[in-house]
Amino acid sequence: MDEGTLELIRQAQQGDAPALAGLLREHYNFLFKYLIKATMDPSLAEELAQDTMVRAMEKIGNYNGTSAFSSWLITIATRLYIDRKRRWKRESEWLRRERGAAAIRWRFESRNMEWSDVLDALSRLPLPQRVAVLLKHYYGYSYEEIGSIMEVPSGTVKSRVSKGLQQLRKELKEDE
Amino acid sequence: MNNDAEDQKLLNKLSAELERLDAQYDDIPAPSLPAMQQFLAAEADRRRSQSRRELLLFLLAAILLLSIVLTVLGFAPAVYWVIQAVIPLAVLGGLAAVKVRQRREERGQ
Repeated sequence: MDEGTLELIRQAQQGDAPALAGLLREHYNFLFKYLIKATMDPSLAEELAQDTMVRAMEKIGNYNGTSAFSSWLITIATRLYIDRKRRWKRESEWLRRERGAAAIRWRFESRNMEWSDVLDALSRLPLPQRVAVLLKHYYGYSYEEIGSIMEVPSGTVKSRVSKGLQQLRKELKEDE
Repeated sequence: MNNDAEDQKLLNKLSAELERLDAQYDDIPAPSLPAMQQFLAAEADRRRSQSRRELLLFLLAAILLLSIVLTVLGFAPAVYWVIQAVIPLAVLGGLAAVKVRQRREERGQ
C-alpha cells in the first residue's frame, strides 16, 4: 500500500469524513469491477458496491492493516453478497441471474464484441464456486485467504474451486 | 491431453475473458468526491435516525412487556412460571430449526 493511502486510512479512522470519502472513491472502480465478475449482474454490482461503501464507513475503525485495503473491501463485499443471496427465494434468484448476464451480454454486443462462452458458463456457476474460482485464479488469493474472506475452511474452498472448474469444463465441452 | 494441461488451457481462457469483461467497464466513472461525501453523510444521518427509532421502539416494547409480566405475576403467579418455561423452549426450538435449514441450503449450493 502506498504512503498516500495509508495516510488516508489513518485520517479516516480518526473521523475525517473527506479522507474517508477520498479513500473509498479511490477504490470504487476496483470494487465495482470485482463485483461485476462475482455477481455477473451490473445493477446488483452497483447496489453491493454502495452497501460495501456504507459498511466500510461503519467499520473503518476495525481495519487493522493486516491485509491490503482492497482485500478488506473484497471481504466485506463478498460477505454482503452471500448474505443477500441467502435471503433470496430460488425463483427470483434464477430470474436475477438471467437478467444480470443479459445486461453484460448487451454491453458486449452494443460494442460489436463477441459474447463469450466462458463468461456465460461462469455466470451459471453457483455463487460459492464462482467467487472461489474468481478469487483463486483471477485475483491470485491463496486457499487460506479465500477461506477467511468467505468464512469457510480452506479445504472447502479447494473443493469449490475444483468443482467450479469441473463444471466450467463440462459446460464448455457441451457447447462445442 | 492430460487434466493439468486442460485445466491450464481453461484457466488461461478464463483469465483472458475476465480481462475482456473488466475492459468493458473501464469507462465507468467513480463517483465524484463531493458526491461520495454527500452519499456517506446522508447514509450516516439515515443510520443515526434509524438507530434512534429502533431504540425508542425497543424501550416501548420493554416497558409494555415489563408491565404485562408484573401484572401477570401479581394476579396469576402459576401462569407466569409456565410462560417462563415455554418461551425459552420455543426460542431454542426455533433456533435449532433455522440452523438445520441453513445447513440444508449450504449443502444444496
